[in-house]
Amino acid sequence: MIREDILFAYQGYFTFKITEKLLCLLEPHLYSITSKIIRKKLFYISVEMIQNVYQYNKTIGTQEILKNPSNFVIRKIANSLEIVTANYIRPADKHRLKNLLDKINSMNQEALTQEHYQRLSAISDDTPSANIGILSIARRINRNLDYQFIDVNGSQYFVLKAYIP
Amino acid sequence: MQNLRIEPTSISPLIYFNNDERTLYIQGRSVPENALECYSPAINWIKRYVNDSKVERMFLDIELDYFNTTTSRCFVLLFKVLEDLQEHTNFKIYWRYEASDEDMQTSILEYKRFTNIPIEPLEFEDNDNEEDILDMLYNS
Repeated sequence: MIREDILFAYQGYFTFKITEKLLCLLEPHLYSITSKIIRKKLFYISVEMIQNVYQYNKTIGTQEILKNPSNFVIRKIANSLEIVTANYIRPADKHRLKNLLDKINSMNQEALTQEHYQRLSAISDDTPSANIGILSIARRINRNLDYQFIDVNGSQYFVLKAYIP
Repeated sequence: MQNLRIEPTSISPLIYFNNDERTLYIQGRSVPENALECYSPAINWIKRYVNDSKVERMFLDIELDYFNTTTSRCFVLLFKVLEDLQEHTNFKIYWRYEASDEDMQTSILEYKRFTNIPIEPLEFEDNDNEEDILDMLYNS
């Protein structure tokens, strides 16, 4: 039997203020993980994933976001920590996201480092911050990111999962 | 010229300039979504300070427990600004990190690769007491 312990869960809207509050609320919930190294990595990845959802929410109109809340969950599964986000995306974004994730998952650590720095250096308001965040996560966990697209009541959701052993 | 001091918040660092040491300190935690808004005042202040004071040497002293991707973008921007100012002023960066924080060490070494501003990583010992207290609280 696999044990599942939820350390933190939030479902709702990811506005600027809410993401700030989430980060403040999150850290005390991670103190049950006594390894400082794991705790820091978990917090870092959580920050990037929460802010990733916020970045996508920013591009979508308020009415659509209100109808399609996002999710963030951290839980223990067997010997790993699983960090999951699920957020509404426009159907037009699905293809681009899939290509991005497949490209990231095909890269080795050096290629990820190079790509990461090149994107950081291309500083402009047009550069999607969310994409760099996903790159940052992949660099930290040293393994592929799991993702899927699911239909929830006719809306397309992007589910991203990262694991820390 | 007015001295620089930006107070920390739960998600952004303390940033201040020590005139005697000619050192800009960045300390704490940096995970704001709007990092450019947080760091722009400091970046603009550095440009004005270097142009007004004609100082020959200036230092940055960084110690952060976390920084997010938007902060990373600001650091890239900051280091590019310093590179442009090197015609007038020599810069050196001291970047402090906990011995156990391999991710921070990796990030610092990556910045060393990609900028010609000298960066000296400075390792310090972990605060072991925190681990003992948490272990006692959650596992006893």
